[in-house]
Amino acid sequence: MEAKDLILLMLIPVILVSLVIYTDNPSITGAQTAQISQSSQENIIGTYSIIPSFKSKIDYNLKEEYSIVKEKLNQIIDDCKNTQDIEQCFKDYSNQLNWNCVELKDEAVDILYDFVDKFNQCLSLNEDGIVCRFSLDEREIINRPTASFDIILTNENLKTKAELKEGVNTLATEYLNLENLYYTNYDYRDSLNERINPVRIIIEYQNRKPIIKDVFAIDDSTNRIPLSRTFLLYKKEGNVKFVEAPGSSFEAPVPANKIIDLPITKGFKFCAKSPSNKQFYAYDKSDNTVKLRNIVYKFAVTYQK
Amino acid sequence: MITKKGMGLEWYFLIIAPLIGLTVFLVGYLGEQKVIGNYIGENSFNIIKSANEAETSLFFIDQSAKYSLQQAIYELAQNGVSVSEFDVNEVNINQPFAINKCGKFKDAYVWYELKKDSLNNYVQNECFDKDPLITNLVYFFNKNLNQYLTTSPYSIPINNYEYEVKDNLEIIGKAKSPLAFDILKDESKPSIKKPVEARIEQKKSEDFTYSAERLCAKGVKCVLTEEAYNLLLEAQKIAKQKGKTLVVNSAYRSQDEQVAIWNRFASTYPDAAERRKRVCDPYNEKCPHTTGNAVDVAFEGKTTKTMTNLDWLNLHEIMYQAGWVRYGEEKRYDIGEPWHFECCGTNRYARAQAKGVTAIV
Repeated sequence: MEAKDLILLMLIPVILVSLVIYTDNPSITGAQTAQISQSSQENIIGTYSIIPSFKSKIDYNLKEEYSIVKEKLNQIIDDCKNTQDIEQCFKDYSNQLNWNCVELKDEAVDILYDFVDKFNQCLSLNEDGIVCRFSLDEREIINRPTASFDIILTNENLKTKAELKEGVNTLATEYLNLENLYYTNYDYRDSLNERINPVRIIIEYQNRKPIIKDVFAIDDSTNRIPLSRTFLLYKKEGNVKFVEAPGSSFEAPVPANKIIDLPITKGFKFCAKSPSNKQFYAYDKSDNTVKLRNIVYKFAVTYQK
Repeated sequence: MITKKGMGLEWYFLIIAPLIGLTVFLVGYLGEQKVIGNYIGENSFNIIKSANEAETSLFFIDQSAKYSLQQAIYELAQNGVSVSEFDVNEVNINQPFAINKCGKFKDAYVWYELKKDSLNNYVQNECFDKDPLITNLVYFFNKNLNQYLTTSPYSIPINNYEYEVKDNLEIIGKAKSPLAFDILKDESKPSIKKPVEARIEQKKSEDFTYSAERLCAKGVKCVLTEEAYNLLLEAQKIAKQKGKTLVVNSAYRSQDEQVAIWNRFASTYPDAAERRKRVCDPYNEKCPHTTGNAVDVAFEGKTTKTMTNLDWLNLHEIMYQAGWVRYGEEKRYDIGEPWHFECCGTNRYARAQAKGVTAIV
């Protein structure tokens, strides 16, 4: 055998070994892929990152619209503040400018606004050590078999929730800037700080007149505390306390408390339609739908009686 | 080259070579099989999928911004360009807004008050200290955008924008942090979602469970920010001085874990408002446990049911001495959660600090 034959023969096992090793390598199939380190987060190859900035544009001159409405309101106030009957003056302008509030909401919700407005007036009085006294306005309650409502005040996370209920249905909810509800009585009016939660007021309207059927609260020991049916609130050092029934001692002449009858201010509400008659798609909880809606600026002006 | 027996050396090679080849083949064949885990280009596809997801998220954000702007304009007008302080919650508390000083008349915010002076003439008072228009528009916009983003199927962070408003009317939201999408190796396996709060300094649970202080109940994942962890160690030190040992029953929760807790209560309290009284709503609130700055604690060997009022009182004392604030009211253990404490800049902690109390609802 010649030397070249010998070399060829020696190459045979080398070729065989190479062939086995080569076929055992996945790259021969073309499936070579990035191998993921098992020590990295399981199942995550990497992160795709973007900066999600945006720009949104709409054809609406907000500043101009607002300044037109505000300018007009200033004119109305200038014209009305020296008139004998401010309310009538506001009404006339509201009709003239078509700034009347046409609302679909239940008329009964005004009972709650009446209560909350007067309660807030008491809270914002500058005087201290005084008694606020108020009653609810007369109003027509129609389209109801019985005009019986509850106002329920509940402490909720550093504020007080005021709800108007008709049976189990909640007609309206507002909030009072009052951390805790308290009650007191005449003899211990400055020392008694008994917490109550909730307060329940039961009202019935008969021939427009609101009749307070019951007012009571539950204290921390779950006792039922009857409260004065004339709304009496004792205001001292920033705290407002409900007065325990009957409450007549607070109204007694000697020793008299300073009693402030509310309301001391009145108000008028305007609903000014966007001067450019703009409409946008928006959601409103009153009808629970998203639809094309007019832009209406809702605001009020208050004045001392 | 021929041997004495007449067999050439090449024949030896010819015999040995197949044997070597066969051995190598058998070793390779019978050895561990290499399994190719993915198909050709799978990773590339996964990257494209993540890119698509990112693009869809961007589209979601763009559309949300468009709707939020319309809704914000409507709400701004309906609210007489005012923001109710009662609507401010832990989610949107950091977004500035202009307050109306005069409050409401009926359901409308007051723009002007007419008060009588000493001569019985009306004096007109403005109800805003500064022009509320743009500030409150942005507030409503951010609130609505947050609502959209929390309902998105993607993990889009909320309160992630700095806004610029231009006339007639353009709002530009500049993102503070990027949106990150995990590129998954296997789509069928769940990804590890990062919490919305990205500043949490993760600690290994072993750091707690097996530390000398033994702060964590067994099996409980104790992850806290470093500041909270140090305060907890301080509390434990105080507790030890009083002959007590603290045990942490819950600490940091991811957003997903909070969602799971929220969902767990769904069957018992289907009404979301009722459920919110008992569990933090991760969709509408920044839940304290998701910040890594809140803990649920009891004394060792006791549960929330076996802790007495005196125990709660002692626990409260220990924790507030270490700098924690309790969810509840001072000296009352029937309100809030006497086991829940927060620190280090959570909303509740900030409120308690502002009021100078050691417990707050």
